Amino acid sequence: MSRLDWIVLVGTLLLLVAYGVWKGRRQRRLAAYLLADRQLKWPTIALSIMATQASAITFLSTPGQAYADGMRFVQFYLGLPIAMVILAITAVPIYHRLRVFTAYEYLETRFGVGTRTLGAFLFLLQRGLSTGITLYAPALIVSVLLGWNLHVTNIVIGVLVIVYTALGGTKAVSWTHVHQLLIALGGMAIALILAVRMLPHDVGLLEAARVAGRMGRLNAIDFSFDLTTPYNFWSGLFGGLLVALSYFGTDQSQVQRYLTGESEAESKLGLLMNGMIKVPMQFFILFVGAIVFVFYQFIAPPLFFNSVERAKVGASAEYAQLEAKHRQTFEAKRAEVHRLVEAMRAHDASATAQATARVRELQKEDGVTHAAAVSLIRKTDKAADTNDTNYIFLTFVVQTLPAGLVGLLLAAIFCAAMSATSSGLNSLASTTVVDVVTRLLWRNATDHQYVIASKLMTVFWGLFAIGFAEFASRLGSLIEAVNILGSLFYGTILGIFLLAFYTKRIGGTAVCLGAIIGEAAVAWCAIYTNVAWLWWNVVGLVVGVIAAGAIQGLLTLRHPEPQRRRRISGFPT
Amino acid sequence: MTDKAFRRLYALVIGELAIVILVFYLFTRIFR
Repeated sequence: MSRLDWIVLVGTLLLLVAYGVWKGRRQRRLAAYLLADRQLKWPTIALSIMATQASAITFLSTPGQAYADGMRFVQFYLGLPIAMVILAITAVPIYHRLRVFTAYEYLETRFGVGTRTLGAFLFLLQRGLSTGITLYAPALIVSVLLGWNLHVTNIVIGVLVIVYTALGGTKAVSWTHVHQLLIALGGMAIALILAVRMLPHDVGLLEAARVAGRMGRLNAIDFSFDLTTPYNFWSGLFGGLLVALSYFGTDQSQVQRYLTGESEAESKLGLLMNGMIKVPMQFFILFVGAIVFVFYQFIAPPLFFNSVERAKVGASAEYAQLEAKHRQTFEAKRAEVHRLVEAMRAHDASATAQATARVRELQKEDGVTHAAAVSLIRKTDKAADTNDTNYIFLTFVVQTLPAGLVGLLLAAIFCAAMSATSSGLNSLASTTVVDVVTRLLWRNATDHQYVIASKLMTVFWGLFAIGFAEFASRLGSLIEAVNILGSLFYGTILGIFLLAFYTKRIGGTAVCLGAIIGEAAVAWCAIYTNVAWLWWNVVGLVVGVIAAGAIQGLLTLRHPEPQRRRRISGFPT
Repeated sequence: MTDKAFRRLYALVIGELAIVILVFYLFTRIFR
């Protein structure tokens, strides 16, 4: 990295931290600290919601996903707009009417404190771990590619986030989100423009898209129905709908974003704008990856993108042979891609078909060489990280972009990491203080004391996330890892909330036991079947809800008694 | 905003999704 890159990177991050602390100054009441005094407007809410979901994993791993597997991952988000409409109609009015601080407070009104505590506990477990991954992912990738110390990178990003999140609360978090997301998206747009400009002079954006399409990278929609593959239209629409309902409706890291709305209408509008922008935004990020793929048809990519793992085998004769084969295949493929471009330009269908077949054949051949390299790396070190999709986009940035822009792109990546981590810490602190500390442990403190407790809990969870990140090991494609972790819990949690929203007769005991059975079913699917992880949400939801219904039926037979609605006790709203 | 305005907005969101799916489908077909 050049001096200019460092200036851009460090300057951007420090300015953001200072801005966050300034925005969140003078907050002595808990409603101000945790919910920005319920004063935010829908544009801030919408950008904050998007920034919370779009972590560094989105900007690093997603383009790599498109490079390796094409754009079909976009289907994961197809259910999201429908979920936004459902939540605007159901959850938002309920949360606003009850003036809750957390989603789990609502559960007490329906099922009692036991279910509230269960919901809060499941959230703290899932979000606590995933915040660690959110922090770890960019630190790992950057440390590999730039040679930075992983632990130092981890700690520096973590501490920066802790500072403005703990000092500034939700206002700091939401306002920095606006700028962080704009910087991240701006960085991706610059990367796309430069990737296209660095293609050969006779290859423009349209030709690049055609090449990407012919090589199977623009596979945005797949209507085939297959329970074992995670990314198709059906799993995206139905499984993705349930993930989105659970994530945006019951995960405090998102719920807190729209509880800050000045009114119910502002909160609804924020969610709906997210519903309209999110899918095109993800398409754009994946498309950047597809164009980077085309770029690497004209400039030789490394055989294996993770330079640390590559270095372990770099000196071996076997790897040198594979490198030579990869280089040979690349040269042949580049020539064929040029022929393909000329054939398409000349509208010569037969030459296009021939060149396409040859290019695909060579791509497959290169895939075999890559697999052999992966085998060799794994043979040399059983614990090696053999999935290099997370390193593709940053390799492109670091090795090809001019000075200054590398720093900007790195700032964009760190902004994305910080935005998601800050939401995570903010929500973990809220849930800990509101659902555990005030409800169960310390009921008569003053408002200001609860604010202090929230700040301390933010620091605690920040240190927890840094600590977990230190121990997090290779998790394959990180964007998949985060979503797989979510899918272990989201279906069950969603089941609890759907029973709360839509049923009157099912009580807390049945819900809790049903949730446990639902989780057991998800665990069984994960361990003993090949069912793709998106469908685990459906399993957890359906099994949990049916089990709760059946258990309530049995309980009612034994003790017929009407369910009463309860008030939320604990913290004054 | 009135309830009627919100209902129109819900329809707009779902309508946009339908258009996006169609665009993705055409995109996949055209560039295959």
